[in-house]
Amino acid sequence: MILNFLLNNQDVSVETDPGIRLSTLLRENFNLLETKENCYRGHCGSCTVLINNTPAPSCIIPAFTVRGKEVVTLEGFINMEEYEIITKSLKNAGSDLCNYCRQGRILVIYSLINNNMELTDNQIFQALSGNRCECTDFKSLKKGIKHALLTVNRKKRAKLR
Amino acid sequence: MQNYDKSVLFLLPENTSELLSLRKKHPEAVIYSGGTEITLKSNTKHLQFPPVVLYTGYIDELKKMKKTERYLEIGACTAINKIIDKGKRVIPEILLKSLESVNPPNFRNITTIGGFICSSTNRNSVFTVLAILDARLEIRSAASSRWIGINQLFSEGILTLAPDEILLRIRIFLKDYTYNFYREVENSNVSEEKITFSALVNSPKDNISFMKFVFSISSSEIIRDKEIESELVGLGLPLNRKTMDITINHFSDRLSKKYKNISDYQKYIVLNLFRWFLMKINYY
Repeated sequence: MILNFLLNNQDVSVETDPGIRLSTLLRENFNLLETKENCYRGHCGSCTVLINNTPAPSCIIPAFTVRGKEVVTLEGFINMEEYEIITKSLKNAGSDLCNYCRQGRILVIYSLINNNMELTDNQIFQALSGNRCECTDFKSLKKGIKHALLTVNRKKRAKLR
Repeated sequence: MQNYDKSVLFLLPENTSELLSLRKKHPEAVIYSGGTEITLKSNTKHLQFPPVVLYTGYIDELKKMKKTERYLEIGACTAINKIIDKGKRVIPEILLKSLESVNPPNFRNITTIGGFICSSTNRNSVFTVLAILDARLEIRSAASSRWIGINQLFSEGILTLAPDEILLRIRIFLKDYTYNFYREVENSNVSEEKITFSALVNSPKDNISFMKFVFSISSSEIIRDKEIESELVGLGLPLNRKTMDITINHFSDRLSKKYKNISDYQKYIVLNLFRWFLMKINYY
């Protein structure tokens, strides 16, 4: 099957097995190694990518379902302004993400702050609970996310002015 | 390019009429909506698929939500999180609570409501709540169309749809209720054992005019006792201690007689939830 989709802001076309896991496709065909494959059950969160701006576990998503959609991995997000804001806020709050969970958590956080003007603790907890890594505690993550949200909102307001 | 199993046929319709004609042509096809039930069965590097897969994710009209004054219609391929986000102020609170209980949270972005209720292993939580809300389902085939109550979707745990039929829409009637409750109790020792309780009550001027409650136990047993409901309808709030004890004892007797498959532990949880519910409507 020839699969066309938008990957990290670039139109791509690839001949592939339609039933291959999206995570495998990203790693093996596009060498996007920030997408990890661990549990193959969508539980650990390290394979999270953004599909049409929604976080999704790519290890349980077959390739044929992304035709014509937009897929973003950490490699595509790294040059964006929000990436810097998020990583800086997390670092200042004391949470240093490990390589295992970095992609999943950062993309989930991006989706959270991009879709909400305000965040409750429960919203943050719910969104982050798709990632099982224990490299950092919830309290500092929460602090970092709230700070990143404030910064992003401030920038949005400044742009509107 | 990888070597892959070309024996699997993937059908990717882009509108409803194409979907229905493909369904007619391939009644053996397995419907792939969010796909969590299919993909979670294979935990090896390669996903395993049934011989024919009919994917509904490219049909935009099945991902829409429509609200009228009387009801809300949700396309069967709408992701759970989309319903939560878009319907926060529209969908009944009890349904919102049950949708938010679908775990793990990151699955809610891909799990669809149609796939979720058609899965025989998920017949608690959202299914029970839709049942208590008297949800109606639009079932279509290439030749016919019909609306059924959600209770008619399964018979003895088996899906009742004909091989060429497919679930397209879910219609939920919007009514106001004085109280709505949703609780889940999980037994941490037995991961599959989950008891859910949902209830709707109307009590204008502190008089119970309408009551409906349903328990579901581990997706297999659904308990609804109309006799107990009618005993409580017409009573004034708060209920006195004696009335509550009599009702709970009566419910306990009926559980022992009618539902012989439930364990003592399950019965204990059900009765505790029922007591909690009566206390709640008394002192809300």
